[in-house]
Amino acid sequence: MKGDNIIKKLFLSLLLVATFSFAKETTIPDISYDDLDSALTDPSSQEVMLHPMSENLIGSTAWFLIMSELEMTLELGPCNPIPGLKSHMIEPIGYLERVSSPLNFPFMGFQIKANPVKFGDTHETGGETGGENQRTQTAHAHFIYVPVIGMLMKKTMAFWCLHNGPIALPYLSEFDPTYKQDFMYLKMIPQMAAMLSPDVIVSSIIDCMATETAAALYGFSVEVEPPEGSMPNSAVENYDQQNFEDQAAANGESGESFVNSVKADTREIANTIRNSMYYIDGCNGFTAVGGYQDGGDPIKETHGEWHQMSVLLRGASAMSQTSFLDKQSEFAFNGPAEGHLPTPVSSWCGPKEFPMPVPSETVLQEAYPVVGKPHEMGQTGIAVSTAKNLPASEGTVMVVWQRRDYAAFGYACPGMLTRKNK
Amino acid sequence: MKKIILILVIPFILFGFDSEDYKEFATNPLTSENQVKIKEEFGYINGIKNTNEGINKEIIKELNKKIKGMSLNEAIEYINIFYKDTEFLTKKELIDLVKLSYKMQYEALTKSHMFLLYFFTREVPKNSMANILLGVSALQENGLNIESKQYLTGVPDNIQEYMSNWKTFVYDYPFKYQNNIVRNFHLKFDPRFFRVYEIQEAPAMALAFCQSAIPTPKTCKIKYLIRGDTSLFDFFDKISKIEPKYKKYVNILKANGIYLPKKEVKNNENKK
Repeated sequence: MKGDNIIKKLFLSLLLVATFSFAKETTIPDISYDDLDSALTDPSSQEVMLHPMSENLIGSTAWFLIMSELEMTLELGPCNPIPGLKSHMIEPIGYLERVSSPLNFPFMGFQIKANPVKFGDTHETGGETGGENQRTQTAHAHFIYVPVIGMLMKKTMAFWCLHNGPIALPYLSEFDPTYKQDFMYLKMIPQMAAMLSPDVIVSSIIDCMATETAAALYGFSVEVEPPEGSMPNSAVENYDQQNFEDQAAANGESGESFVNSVKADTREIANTIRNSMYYIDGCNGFTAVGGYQDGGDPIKETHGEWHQMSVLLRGASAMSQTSFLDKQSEFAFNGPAEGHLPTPVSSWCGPKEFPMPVPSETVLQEAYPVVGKPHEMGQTGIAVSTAKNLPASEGTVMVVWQRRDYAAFGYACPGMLTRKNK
Repeated sequence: MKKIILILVIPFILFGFDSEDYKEFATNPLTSENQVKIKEEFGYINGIKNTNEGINKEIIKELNKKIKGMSLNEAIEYINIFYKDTEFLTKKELIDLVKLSYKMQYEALTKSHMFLLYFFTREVPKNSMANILLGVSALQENGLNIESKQYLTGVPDNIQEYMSNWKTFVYDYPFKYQNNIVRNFHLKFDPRFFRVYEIQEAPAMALAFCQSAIPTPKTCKIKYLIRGDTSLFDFFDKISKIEPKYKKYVNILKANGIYLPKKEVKNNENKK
């Protein structure tokens, strides 16, 4: 096709222009190195933070999620030769970093201060308040693939089919030539034209509601203190003295409650809306142009931070050659997603490659510099933990959790090195 | 988009969705104590928040300002004034969607699910639990909104064999029993309930009210807890002496309770 060739040429030429424009923008570091090795061996080129996240890997991850969501049923799966039993689980598959200077890895507490490769970074060090300097600053993002629980318990917990494989860096924005080009970044958001209509803007309300509903049903939003102390030792233990309100006692019997009536269906509807409106990041709205947050303090702008992480996750997943965020749950598309994304294929028996992270199966959780509770993708990031006095940090790290509906014992276990199993 | 509307409109029809449904919160939605709670959690009630830069910054800013913290009636009024019918979405469809969204969120945050939680060990006979699950399905078939989750004390080392035994056990029975057990069999391994409610000896059974679809000690309130092996009938019988409204449950179980047939009986049937 002639038209296709022209588009390809145009795209390539833009890529070249972008590459050269990076070269122009690059600020020359004080010390220059010929290669990465010498940069790494020179102690003056490295800055080790006091408490890297990896030192507190266990304490900074909300492990309770695993046991909270793990569930097995006796429904037979469709797999062959072992049909398997339909089950649900969640596991942490990696860490998403957002940093204000290139090649800074808060996860490891490691920063390469030298600039052995020209990253096209316009970051300038300056005063504390930033001012002019911050306007030229673009945050960088990394995705570190570390399926911690799979690495620790792969053998003993084989039925979970945990992610395995090496620690990998599938996405570093420093090496992504499209990262800082608004126009080229559009490829990650195919719904750009539709987004600019008022109706779609309003539909983000619906997506927001759906996200919050799903979050409430997963138990992420409602926080009530559990009863404490010793329990009465009678035959029937009545906890009425806790003075809680059980509206369900009335609603449950009459069947009036919408949620009670439809039970899991409510979550299903909410998730269908969320997945169909994948271009809207729940209550965070959507980013029309560009995937990065320009300027500003990532720590102070908590809300922007969450949105930014979601956007980066999408971008990273779409960009990476190894799509680490596979489709792992059953869902359907309705509306605009149809025709723009491939029809979801059943993933009961093995993960399926998919171009976007599925909103309903992705959970983000703050891990550094503060540890926060898990959030549904697109759920508002405002939480008590994010409003506390925050330690100064050049970056933030979030744990990426991924849900899975699978047929246990019949499932082809995922892993970056075992993709042929699918 | 039309299909989204369809999927959203079906529940309207199924669950008698009309304007009267909103009386409860249409005039004063989420503005009671709940609102305070929700605001603490989310920072806001509804509307959109974003940090977008670019072309539609102004539109979004305006929307943020207008819709943030609106009641349902205000939001509808706003849509009526500022939005026109398009091919993509008519004004009425948009309002219906927003209504359903409000309703879903309202109920997800305020209403709770009734759960029967069963705590057991590997040593507990499968019959005991299966009979309870059959009882729960009898309650469900009689229109009661109750769900069940079963908590095992830890993951067995030989989980595949354990689950395989369960499968063999259940699928040996006639279809009506299989179906009712499988529908309510949701095996979980969450150790937190055991710790919070000091359940050191299993089995134990609890009636809980949860604000989430996945029970957790934080989102659930256990109202009644009986330790030791007991049938579902006995469980509700004892509870009904404290709260007479549960007499209904007892009567249903008495009239419709299904119990697993003994294996010998089934074998004899096969021989015949």
